[in-house]
Amino acid sequence: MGLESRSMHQSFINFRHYRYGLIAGVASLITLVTYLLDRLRVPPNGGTWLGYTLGTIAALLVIFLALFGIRKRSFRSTIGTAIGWLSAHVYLGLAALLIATLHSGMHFGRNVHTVAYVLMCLVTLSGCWGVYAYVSFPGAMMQQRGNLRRSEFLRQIAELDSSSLELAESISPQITQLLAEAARRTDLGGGNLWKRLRSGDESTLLLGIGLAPRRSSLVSNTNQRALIRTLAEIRPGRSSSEVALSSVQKLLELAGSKAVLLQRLRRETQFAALLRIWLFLHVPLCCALLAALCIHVVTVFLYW
Amino acid sequence: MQDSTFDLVIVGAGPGGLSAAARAGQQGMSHVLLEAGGAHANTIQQYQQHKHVMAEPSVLPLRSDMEFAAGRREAILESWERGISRARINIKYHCEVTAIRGARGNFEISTKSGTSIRGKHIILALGVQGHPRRVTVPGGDLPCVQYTLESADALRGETIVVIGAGDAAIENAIALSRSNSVILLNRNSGFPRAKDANAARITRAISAGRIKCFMHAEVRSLQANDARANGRQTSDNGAGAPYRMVISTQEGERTLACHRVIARLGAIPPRQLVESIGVRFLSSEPDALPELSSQYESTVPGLFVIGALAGYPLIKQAMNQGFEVVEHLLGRAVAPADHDILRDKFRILRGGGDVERIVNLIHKGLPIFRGIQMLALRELLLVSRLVTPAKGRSIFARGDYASSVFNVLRGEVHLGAGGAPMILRGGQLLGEMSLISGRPHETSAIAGADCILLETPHSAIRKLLRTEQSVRAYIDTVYSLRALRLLLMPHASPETIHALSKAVSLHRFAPGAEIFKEGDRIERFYLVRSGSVALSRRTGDQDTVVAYCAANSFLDALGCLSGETTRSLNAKSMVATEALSIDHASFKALLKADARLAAKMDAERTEQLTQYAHMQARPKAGNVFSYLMSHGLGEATSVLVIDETLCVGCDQCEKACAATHEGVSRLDRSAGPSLHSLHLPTSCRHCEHPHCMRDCPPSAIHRLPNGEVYIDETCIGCGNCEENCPYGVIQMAEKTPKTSLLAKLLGTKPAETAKTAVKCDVCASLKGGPACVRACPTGAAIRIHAEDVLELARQRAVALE
Repeated sequence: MGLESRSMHQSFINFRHYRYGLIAGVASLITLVTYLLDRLRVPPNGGTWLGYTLGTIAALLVIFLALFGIRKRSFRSTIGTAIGWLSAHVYLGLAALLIATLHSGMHFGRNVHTVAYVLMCLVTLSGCWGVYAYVSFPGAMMQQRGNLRRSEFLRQIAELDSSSLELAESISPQITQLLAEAARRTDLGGGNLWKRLRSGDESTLLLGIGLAPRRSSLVSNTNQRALIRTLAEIRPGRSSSEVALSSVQKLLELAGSKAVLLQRLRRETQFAALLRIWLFLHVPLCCALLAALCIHVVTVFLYW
Repeated sequence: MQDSTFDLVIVGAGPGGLSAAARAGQQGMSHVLLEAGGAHANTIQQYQQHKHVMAEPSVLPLRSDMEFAAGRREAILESWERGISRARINIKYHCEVTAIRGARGNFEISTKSGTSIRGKHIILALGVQGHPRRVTVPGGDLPCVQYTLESADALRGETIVVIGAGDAAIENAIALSRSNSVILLNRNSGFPRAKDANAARITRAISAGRIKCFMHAEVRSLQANDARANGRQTSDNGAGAPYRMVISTQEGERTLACHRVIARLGAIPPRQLVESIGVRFLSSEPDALPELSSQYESTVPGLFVIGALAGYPLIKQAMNQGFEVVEHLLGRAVAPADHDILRDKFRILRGGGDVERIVNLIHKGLPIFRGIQMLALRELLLVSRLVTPAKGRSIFARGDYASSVFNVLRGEVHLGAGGAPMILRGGQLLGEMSLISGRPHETSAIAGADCILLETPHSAIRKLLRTEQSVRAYIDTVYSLRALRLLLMPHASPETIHALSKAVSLHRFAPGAEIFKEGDRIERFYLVRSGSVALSRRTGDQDTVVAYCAANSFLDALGCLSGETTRSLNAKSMVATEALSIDHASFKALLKADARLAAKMDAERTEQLTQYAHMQARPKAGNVFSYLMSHGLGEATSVLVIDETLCVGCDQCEKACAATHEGVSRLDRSAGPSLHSLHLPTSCRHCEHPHCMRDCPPSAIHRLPNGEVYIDETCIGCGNCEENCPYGVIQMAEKTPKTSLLAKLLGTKPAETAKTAVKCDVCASLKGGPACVRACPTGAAIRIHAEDVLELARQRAVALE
């Protein structure tokens, strides 16, 4: 068994040694050189021979790029693989924007043609952000969660809760109640997309339930800060129940660990949401672009 | 009944006896069926409630006036009950036979109650289950000791001691452990007698603490507690239990409190009775079978033996035999039940021909089967097929995964792996290397002129390998000869190989076993036959894996060729592993004498050194490797590995799997272990020796030439494969038939279907290959083979640095 250097995992960026990157690069270069040479002959314009050619190429590319959405969902398709399609989608998408720009001949105005162009820029921009997210977030997510799965995070949090409750029961009913309430009102992340994106912590804590002679109030317990503070306020050894310092320290340690786990969990949830959110922009914009493109083509031929 | 003489006396109202009596009853033959117990089919009566009884071998047609098909115990017993009255069977219950005297035409049968019955012919259909081995220690006769368990659900909250390590003991213990506290006593360690699925099940139950088990334990005594003792002196819970059992274990004597003892110690065949009539047995071994003719007539003329006692433990076989014996007694020629099937199989031969003659020819002509019983051979032929490939046609290609072995019946086969082909002729076996290693064929096989082959599935051969020493020995010998020639000395003469094979010994290693360690004297030169071995080196307090040896490779060729006298590496088996070895001194002498072998081994050494250098430089690669190996990649032929630095969690892999498999995904992306950013989702590994295939009653699990393991529609949903899979990748799923819109509107629920086993089939039906990999847009999901693990580990180590 030799050590042949067969590449195991490859990303859509370097798929088949940047095959589509090279194709897109060469195509861009050719169009750019042609454009510059043609420019010496006639002023650049979408209506020249080159303008029409570039426009046709760009339109066909846009259709091809949109087809990725269909291919991605055709699980029985044998036309290439999803990774190949994505790789082509990314590189040819960038080339398409360049070709469309050259096709425009830099003539912009308040018209449907420019709307189509602007939409194309937005689609490409959102796509670029998607590429950035796909390339950098999975690694970052992995760093966040180590080798833990989501379910393991939840299990560990539940374990921390139960050990602190167990400890609290040996101290006093008030602290037990405080901790039980804190656990009950802990925000484990999730919720609507906006909340997941913000990575907000809506944990709350019910204060004043027997611990202090003040009115009970609901306060924010972001990052378990309120709980930690309340626990820190317990004066060891002074109260009648003589809470040992070591017990309080242990409770604080547990609350601290829980805060860290919650933070990691929320951060992971946030990444997962970020990996998805841009598609909510990219796909509708793409649909709008296709519509605008149709109008652009029709009007161009109408006013031939 | 004193003076009545019957044409036929049948002893034992099990399936065989019932079937014989039904035939006799239908044909108006005067007969009597004697049953020692109070009901028919005692063994099946004693099965647990609702047990699913199987009708194997499924290809064999049933020949009986009694009905029988696979189904619940209750349904089968009921149909036989009806059959008894319909066929006008003259059955006598509570009639235990104590002695048989006389000869054909005039047998005298004495029963326990003192009556005597005369018969012209006798069929013994006693079975072997009716005589359970008893607990013979003091107190063994207490009422708390029982030998059967009808319903585990009837018992609750008791402390129950189950004695035994076979299937019955395990099944009882597990069923009882649901609502009782169960203690299992095993005389040995492990459960080698049990079915694989049961052994796995009980091992899990013990390690999870659901059942307490004492290994190497023997019962010393049993006694009733007096009320005051109250179990306080006992070492296990069960306070207040009415009985006390003293057992001896390796750690000394212990006392257990219990409510009940269930002894499942197996059964004693009623050999004494049978021998006392004058029936000769094949050997003096305790489990030897009586000598029988092809009509099941024993060495006492007129006395026939059928069923489990004759060595045929399956219900359908026994029923067919009962029918056939009566037909024979009625003077009608009966061909065995498999006759027509075999005739169809043999039709391919020119002139078709006489089934019996061909079966005999196969029995005599193929050394692999020469030592097995004729009926075992017929059973094997039922699942085998004859093939007649045209000259020049490929039988299998190098690199194909195998699912069957071939025996050359006529003509020749050319085996080639570069160099001069090896020619196999009539009587020789091919495909044994893949059978043993579970890996693809090392050679290609091409049919010669007039070639007739017998193709037998691996599952059938493996069954024989488990039970037939002669088959095992034959395959081991053939393997040694071929492996030495193919892998070590392709140039040597057959005589040299033959002489060398005499010096070869075979070793078996459990998973994780140490084969040798650093500093050991180099005594043997190993060739891995199946499984895989990791070689590691200790640096500081850490083991660094430096090489990996799969089946058909040489272990530590480096050390053996270096002139060193001690090992510089540790060798540990990754999975269950078998290896051949020759002693190091003879190997060195061989090297000296054979320049071509020396050159071959030198090349092997260069390869291993390169691997060694790569791995030694990257201790992290060793960690990644160990992690992957510990999750079964050492025996994988296609396993899904997700790179977490590329995975965006879009679940396209799961969606693709579900979309191509009736809506049920066979993989769970987020489940499964992760380390060093490599995630192993819960998905089939397509093992070299598939654990799931080991114990599949209808043989519904198959393997294709590309290595893929799949389950076909004959699955009966027994769940053995699910239990046997160490990676938890088989699910029992209900087939939900699609409901039409109208049916939905009307609220009609789809008919409930039985659960069957489903697993990854690497998208066999899909042209482009596995949908999970093809649907991954970021390249995170790939499938790799065991051979790629080292390279994956190396690349991962580079990425981590």
